[in-house]
Amino acid sequence: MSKKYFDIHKPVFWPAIGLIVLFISVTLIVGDPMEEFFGVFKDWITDKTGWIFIITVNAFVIFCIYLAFSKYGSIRLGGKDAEPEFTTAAWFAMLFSAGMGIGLLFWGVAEPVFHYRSPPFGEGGTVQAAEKAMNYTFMHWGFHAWAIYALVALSLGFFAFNKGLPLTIRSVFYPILGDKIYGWIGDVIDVFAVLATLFGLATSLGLGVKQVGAGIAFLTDIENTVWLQVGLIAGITLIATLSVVAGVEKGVKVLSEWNIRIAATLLVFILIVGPTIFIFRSTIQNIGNYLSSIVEVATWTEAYRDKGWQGDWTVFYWAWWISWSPFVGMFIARVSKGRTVREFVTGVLLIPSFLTFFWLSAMGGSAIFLDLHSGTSVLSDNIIQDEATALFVFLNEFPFTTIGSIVGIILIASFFVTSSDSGSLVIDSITAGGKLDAPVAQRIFWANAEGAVAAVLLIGGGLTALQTATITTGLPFLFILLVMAYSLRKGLQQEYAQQEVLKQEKSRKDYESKLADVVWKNVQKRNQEKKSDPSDKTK
Amino acid sequence: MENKLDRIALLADLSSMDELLLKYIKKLDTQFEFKQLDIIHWLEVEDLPAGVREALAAEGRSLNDVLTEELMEQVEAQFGPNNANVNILIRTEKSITDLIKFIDSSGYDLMLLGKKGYYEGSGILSSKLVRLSKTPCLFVPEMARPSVAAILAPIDFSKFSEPVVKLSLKLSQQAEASLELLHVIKLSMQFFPYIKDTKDIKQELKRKAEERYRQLKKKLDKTPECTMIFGKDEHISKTIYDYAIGEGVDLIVIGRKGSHNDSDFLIGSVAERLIANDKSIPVLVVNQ
Repeated sequence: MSKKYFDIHKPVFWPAIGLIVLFISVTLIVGDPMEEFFGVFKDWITDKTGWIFIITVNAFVIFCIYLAFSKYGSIRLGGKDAEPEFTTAAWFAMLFSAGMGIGLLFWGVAEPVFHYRSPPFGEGGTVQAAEKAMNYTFMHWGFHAWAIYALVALSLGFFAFNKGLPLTIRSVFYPILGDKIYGWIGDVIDVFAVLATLFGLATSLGLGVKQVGAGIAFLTDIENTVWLQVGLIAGITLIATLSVVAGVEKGVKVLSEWNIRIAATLLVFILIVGPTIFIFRSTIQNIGNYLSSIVEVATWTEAYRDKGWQGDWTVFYWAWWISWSPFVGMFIARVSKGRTVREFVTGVLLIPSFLTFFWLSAMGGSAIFLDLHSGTSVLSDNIIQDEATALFVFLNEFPFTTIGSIVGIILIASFFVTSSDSGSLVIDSITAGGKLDAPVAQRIFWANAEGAVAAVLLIGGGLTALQTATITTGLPFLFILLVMAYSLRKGLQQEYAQQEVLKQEKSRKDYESKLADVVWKNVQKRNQEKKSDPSDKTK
Repeated sequence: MENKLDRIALLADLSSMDELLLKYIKKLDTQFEFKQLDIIHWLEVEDLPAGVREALAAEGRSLNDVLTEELMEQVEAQFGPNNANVNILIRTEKSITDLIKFIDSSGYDLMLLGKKGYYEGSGILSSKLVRLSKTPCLFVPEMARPSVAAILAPIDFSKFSEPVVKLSLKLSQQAEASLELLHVIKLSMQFFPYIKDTKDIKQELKRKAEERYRQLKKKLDKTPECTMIFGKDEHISKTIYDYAIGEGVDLIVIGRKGSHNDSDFLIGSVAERLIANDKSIPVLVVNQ
């Protein structure tokens, strides 16, 4: 057994720690102006560079589909003979839990209702607005989002498993930078990725527990105080710590599978108590609508009028997914060894998307349905008032509210745990120089660091400021992702060429008979020598 | 020059090519004074015909022993007895990827490959090695003159050109051979179907090539003169080969790929055709 408790890559670990402390201190000391500053910066990005996001993210979707159906589709992550480490079901569960689970719980009900009430076009609260609402929500949570993750994950997985490079963000630049990735440029890229991941996770955790607290307050008499929230962070961090200590196989995997089971339970619950037939019918109609209008919706840039809707929603989402992509992508890569490119793309792009569509139709779709048929706008008013309690307001419409709500709270908490522990594993990996399994003490350290950062920001303020800051990293990462796509294609091209060369089999029969020939001659020669010289002894 | 070419690998395939390669390297040795020669045979099969297996079992010898003995016999025929610097390695790697890993990690300066064995398909091993290995591959044709007096290094000022010049310089110094760089300027006439007078374009292309040559010279001192010729309406490999024959060259050093660095192929067409078509001049393919 190794006695090493820490196995760090110093040029990444220490600068990352230093910058984290610096950022937090500055945010705490400066206070509100910081939030304003990042807010202005974010607005500038969504306002001025929104169109770059729109076109680029579309390109990612096309690129992923192209890879799956091209000749490179047969390339396997980890080489020809690699076998999947996890069963397909467990793999899906992990993809889902790490990438989106938590967001779907918060926005699954709230987002469609938001769009329904204040649609980008036309009048709110109408049937047209309802259809459009589902359409836009599907786009934000569908192929485009998953394509971003798929691209990052595939690049990382390919360069780590097929090219034997460390599993860190810097590795995807190998075809361009060569051995320079081991120098300072690589360190900078990795430190950047650590910051984006840690702040992304910590701020989500902080804002998330506020919402969990709101849920608890909605259901019980407990007040949603900061201390309740800090307590929740402690609890989530504790479970996450136990999970990272147990490792992917026993921790994240098991929790993810349970997430999916509980989520399925909630979904079935809604299906039974909710408008069952409507959910099935609308899922089909919504998917059709989404597919048929995908080009139009996905390339709409609000060019002829500017209400700022897109900056608040679509571009915000794209930046959000992109800023999370180093983390989610690395985690997906980590669990995807042994899948072919084709399997990977269908697995990451299509299946989670369709499951998401069903979920959104059941949650947000049903809420809109109830609102449309109630004749009043009480329900939708209550939902859009606070997206934290949206799920609970929605569940309140059905029988067995308490059961539904408790399942909801458990689900939110457990999705948080999986985001937190998979995030810790990723940061471990990066700060350990790309090793798959960092020492246990180090995993504990990062899991707790995340909780601590969240708690400090929660008490001291500045959660929103840093979350905004995280989203602004979406812009530089957008360009990094473009480079990634180029690198990946180049790498796959080379891998494919090598695979083709290796395929040519030399005629084994000819070789065998040649070999036999040589041996026969040798044996006969010996025999003759023996005959001519009987004193010669052979062993 | 910092270090000499010392360690040589020779890929033996048990065909008549082996003898040829041994003869060639033996002659070269008098010129280069190599320190170590490893004769590598990759044993790809584990299963032998039953008769052979029994015959071996009866004598209590392994296939490994037999092949080593056979190859040693050939070595002794060429080099005479007492060859402490010659090793026979019978490798049993499971895949060619593993074999290449072994070769590349052994730090050979050169590996000798026969162009063709006498059983069908043995050229495939060479073709895989030249594409996937990082060790420079020397292809020796049947009619090769076993001495190195004049080296020709065709370059196109691409990524591979620098290592090509470096290795050729080493070779020429160690063997006290002449070294000439050659750059073929190719005018693709199909792009200019309506231009009658190509003189200006030719001048311009030549000027550009000379500029790139100066840049290369800045990076590597001792870079020898570079001859510039205009390509005819044929593949560049043919132009190079004809030039080499005309100049009485006995070794061509070339980069694995040229400036058209398309990753879909692991070897450029010039290197590939030079190896495939030439009958009498050894070709050294530089892989890094």
